[in-house]
Amino acid sequence: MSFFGMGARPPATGYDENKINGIKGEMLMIQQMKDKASLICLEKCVPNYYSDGDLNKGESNCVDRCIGKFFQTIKVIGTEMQKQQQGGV
Amino acid sequence: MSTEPPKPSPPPRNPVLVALGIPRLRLPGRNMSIFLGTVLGISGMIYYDRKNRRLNRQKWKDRVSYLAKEPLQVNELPRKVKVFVAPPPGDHIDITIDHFTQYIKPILTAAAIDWEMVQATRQGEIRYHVAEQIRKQRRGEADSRDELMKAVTDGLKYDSEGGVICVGRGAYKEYLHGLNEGWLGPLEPPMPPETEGSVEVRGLLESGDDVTQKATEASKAADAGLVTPQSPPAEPPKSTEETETREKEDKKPSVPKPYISQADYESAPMPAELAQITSFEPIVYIPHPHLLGFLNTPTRTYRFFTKRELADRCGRLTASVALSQSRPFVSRIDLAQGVEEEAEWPKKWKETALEKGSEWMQDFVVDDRIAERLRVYQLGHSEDGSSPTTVAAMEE
Repeated sequence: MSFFGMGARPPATGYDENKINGIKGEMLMIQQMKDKASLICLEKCVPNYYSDGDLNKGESNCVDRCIGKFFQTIKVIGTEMQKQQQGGV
Repeated sequence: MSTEPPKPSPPPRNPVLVALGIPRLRLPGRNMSIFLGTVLGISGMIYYDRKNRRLNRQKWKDRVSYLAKEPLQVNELPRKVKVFVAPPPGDHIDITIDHFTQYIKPILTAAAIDWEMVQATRQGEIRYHVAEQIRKQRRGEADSRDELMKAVTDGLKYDSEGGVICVGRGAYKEYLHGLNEGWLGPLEPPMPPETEGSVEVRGLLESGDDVTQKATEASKAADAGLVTPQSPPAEPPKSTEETETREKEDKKPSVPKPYISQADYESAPMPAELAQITSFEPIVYIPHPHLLGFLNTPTRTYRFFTKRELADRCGRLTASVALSQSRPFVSRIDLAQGVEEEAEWPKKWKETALEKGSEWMQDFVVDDRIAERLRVYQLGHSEDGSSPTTVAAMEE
């Protein structure tokens, strides 16, 4: 990512190792969330046997609602876990 | 012992019963028969009703399910229908939402139609919501997206069809009144009456829960001189009530009064925007029968055992929404839809509502200019042979 040539040090105003790791972790989490959501909603809404490449209206609506509920659940779980953490500490 | 006649030999017993060890098989006696008859009879009626209710629902679902199999492109959005839900008088809103979930929602999901539910907990909320949307559209503020949303949603193809479902007579009345108020009423709220010597004193207005207290409130506001003539007229009464500082417990601000009264419908000028519209979204009234009271128990019991009929009726109306079959609005017939529901409202509630001048008990008036642009969802003759579509046939 840093094109300073071989063996060059990162500049003083450069990247903070911890921040980058944090961002990497977040990206990984979001990616996992997206994969999980797609897997779950695909399993629930789209039948295994299909003849057409496009999603039809029923499946579209179903996927829409599934993803909406998924993220709502994650939000609720997140707030609950935060509350528990704060309550415990 | 020797004078007794010889005992007859016991009758031959069924070898199966002998093998099982059952001493005797008997039919139940009188009391047991009555008990079993009652229990099995009632269970049977409930089972029969539930089974046919499911079948009726399934029948309407199957009739519209072909719509869900149509493809939807990536940048398209499904059709969105507005559902107005108001609680039945004297009861909670959960009941109407349950009614919607049981009878209307399954058919909407089967047809892959999205819906947006507008709930109302007090009288007048639906009317204000509808009228405010129309006024926003008239003012030209309908597009309230910011830059980012515009960039995201510009490429999307929204569905233009829409549709309106009113669950219950109260919601139906409020929707039509809101439509009238929005199109025929002024864009700004009317100024409350002022007295001379009006001082900019705020805070004497009682914000009550009920919109029906508005008459007393308006007079109080006149005494206190709530709004001076110089203050901008665009401030709706609702926000002035909200912004005042009160040390009392915070009650919810009451629903704003209609911007135009029903008597003024005739004399209101026709706005230019209305002249350009040839027809509004079609509407449908879905009955929501709800009886309360101890003396109504026989009727309520009968209704408990005949919910399949209700499923059929609501299913037919929702299918007409899904299949987009509509006919023009006929005031004589359509204003009378659901009158039987009004007869079921609790008498006490109706009396208090009449005294206070509540919205649901007012006259049901729809201006001609609005009525000629309305359509009502109804299944066509070919879809369902039993429902008449011509006016003459409906009057029979």
